[in-house]
Amino acid sequence: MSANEMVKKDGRSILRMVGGYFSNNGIVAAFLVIFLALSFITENFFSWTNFMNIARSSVPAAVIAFGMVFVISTTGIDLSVGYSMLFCSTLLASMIKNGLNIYLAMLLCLCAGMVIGTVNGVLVTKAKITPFIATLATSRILYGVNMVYTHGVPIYGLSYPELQVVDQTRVFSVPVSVIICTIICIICAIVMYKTSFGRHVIAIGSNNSAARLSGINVDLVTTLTYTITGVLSAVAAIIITSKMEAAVPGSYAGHEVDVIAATVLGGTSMTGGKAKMGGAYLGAILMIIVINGLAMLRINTLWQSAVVGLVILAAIGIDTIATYRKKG
Amino acid sequence: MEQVPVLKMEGIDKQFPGTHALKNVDLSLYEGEIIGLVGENGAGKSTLMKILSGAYQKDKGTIAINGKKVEIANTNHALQLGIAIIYQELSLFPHMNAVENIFINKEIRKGALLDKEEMKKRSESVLRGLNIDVDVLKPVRELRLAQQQLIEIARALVMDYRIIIMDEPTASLEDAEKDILFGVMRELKERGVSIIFVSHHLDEILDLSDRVIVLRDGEKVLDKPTGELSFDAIVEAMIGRSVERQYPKEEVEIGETVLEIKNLNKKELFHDINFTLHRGEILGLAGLAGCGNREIALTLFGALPKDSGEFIKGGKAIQIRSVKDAIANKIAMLPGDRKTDGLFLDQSIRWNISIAALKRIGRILLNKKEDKKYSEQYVKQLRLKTNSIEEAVSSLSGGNQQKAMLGRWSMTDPDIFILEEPTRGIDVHAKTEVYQLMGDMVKQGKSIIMVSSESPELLGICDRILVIYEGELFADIPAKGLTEADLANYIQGRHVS
Repeated sequence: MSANEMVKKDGRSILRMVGGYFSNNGIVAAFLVIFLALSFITENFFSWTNFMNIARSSVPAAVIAFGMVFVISTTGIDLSVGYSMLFCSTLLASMIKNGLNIYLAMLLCLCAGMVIGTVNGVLVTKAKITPFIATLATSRILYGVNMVYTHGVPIYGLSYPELQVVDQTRVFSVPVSVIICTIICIICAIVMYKTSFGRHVIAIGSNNSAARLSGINVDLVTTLTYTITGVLSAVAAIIITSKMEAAVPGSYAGHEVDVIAATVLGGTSMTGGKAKMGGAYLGAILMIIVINGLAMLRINTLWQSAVVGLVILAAIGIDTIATYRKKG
Repeated sequence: MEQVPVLKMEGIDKQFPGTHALKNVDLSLYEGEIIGLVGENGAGKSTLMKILSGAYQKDKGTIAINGKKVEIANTNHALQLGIAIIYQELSLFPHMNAVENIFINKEIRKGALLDKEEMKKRSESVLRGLNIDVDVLKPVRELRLAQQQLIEIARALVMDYRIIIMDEPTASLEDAEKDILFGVMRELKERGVSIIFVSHHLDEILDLSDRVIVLRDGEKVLDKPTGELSFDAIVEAMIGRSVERQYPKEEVEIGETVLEIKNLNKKELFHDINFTLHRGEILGLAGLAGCGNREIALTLFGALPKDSGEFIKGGKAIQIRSVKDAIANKIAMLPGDRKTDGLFLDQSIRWNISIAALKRIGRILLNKKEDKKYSEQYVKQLRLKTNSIEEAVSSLSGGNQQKAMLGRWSMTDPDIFILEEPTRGIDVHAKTEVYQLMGDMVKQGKSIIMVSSESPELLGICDRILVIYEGELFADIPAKGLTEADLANYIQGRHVS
């Protein structure tokens, strides 16, 4: 091989490496493109305050998406996260209103989320109901119970400092909720990539039968992915309750769809076996950026949903095409 | 005047990457004739039948139907030419009923709509001919397995096919149903239909066929009227006179008993299984497909719950209720179907090797350095050929994939290694390497149980062979001095005097 050829080959392999990185991380590419475009086109997008607003708005979807990464990596799905969050929010608000210690109320709220998630997991693994149906059903039950209890009327007036601190205060100009969300992301990433549990999750999604024959307790691990998601839905509940200083049963409509969108936008495969924890965070942020950017461009807010849909299609489309190419 | 064969295949040749599956094979089939097609696994029977049914394309050779040359483009084309195939594995749609299954892709229409009445009438008449009394409007998954198999057969009978290929049609049939099927075959023959009957059961072949064709290593080695043949003559042709001994059998001293299995039972699969395994021993578990040998191994590995029975390892009774229990008791198993039951294809070699022994690379957090160290160690030790342990395991050849599986289970540090069809789908060279690795294991004092359907490898590598026949331990014999013909007889459930 001549030197010239070697340079050429190296040049190409570097290009291929960079290309490979972006085709593996379609979300990073999409994120950069949109971020740069908005920075140049609009006046107010590129500012710390705006970035922090975007990050803060992305938290309620991002926090749950970290759990959803575990669930979807086993080829499962959890459709109950939206109403589970609202249910936990109502629970938290009414406990506080009834004079319970706020920290204790938060702890009980997290426990409720854990129970809901575990029930989902048991329905899927022990009752053998497909995840789509099982979590759709629990979702409707939680919504129904919430409506019966509140009659659809919000519980207002939760202006307690212990609660407000979660979403309304900043440390070094970073909102506390963003810090919480980032810490959870890091913990989830460590669990996913650095522990046996994470490996087992990927194994189940990659080849269920082989996972069983490798001695993995498939039912237990699968159930725990739903438990984690349930707890994180309750964390999101605490954050939105702090944000609104209220529990609003009719708020956050279609939240589960945003969570799932953030997860798959981040590069986690719906067919299992591929988990992207940081990607889910970026996915949740990207969806808010798009909405934020549209506002900056003074485009009618009615367009928001349609544009978010297009961004999801584009990002996933690029990813799918890249995967096909690689497989030939 | 010479009769024109309904089917004449001449000089059929087929290559797959790494194997020459068929070498210049001729086959002619006459009207109303039943041919018995036999050979060992991998001899080329299935490939030949798949070429005929349009599932594979031949590389060389000609096919003529009623003297007219044809090129069979796909399975639909084969059906149009009047060739139907009944597969060994069920290919029914479980949630559809018998009528829908029988008429799939050949629905009878009245105008634009389906003529359900006509289809039902015809299905019922065919099924009556097969002597089965089932509700044709029930989803077939609710029927017994044998009934499903007969519906599979009915599919090929409902249209006027002139050539019917039956690939191990009796695998899941009970004796009574077998007799019905054989009756139907004789009736079809009377009507002038020609049948190619593929079976491992030589007694059935001798009983039914007019002519026997034996394939060995892709070549036709025998083609004679059944009347001139005996059971032994067919076996001899199947295995060949000179059996190549490419089995690097290590002489290892057989030690003390490491495992004792007592009165192991599982309803409808096997009963009253008793045997012992010794240190340094390679024990073969032989038998026809579905005889229960595989299930015995799965039970020992905790993947299939037993009904009753005891496992005694190193003199102590052990409980195995799950794969986890088996691993804790230092028992490992390589499943026969690497791709569906073993490998995580889209993950790396390293990932695949450590997944069953993650405890060894970290108590809470996994140590990537240790992970790499173990993978590299096993890659080297097992002579697994790859550029990097980070490559996806799907990019490896069959033999190297098998080594990755061996690496995974070696890492769990087992005393007892159960290997199911360890050389299935890998080339001759890799096979020999796997045998060498097995030799290395027993030299280290491990014991091996090998479930295999290949007689040469059982005889070549095992110290002792257990033959399972219809769920019972039929024979427990030392491999030394055992001939292939004798083993074939045992496997067929015949005693050797």
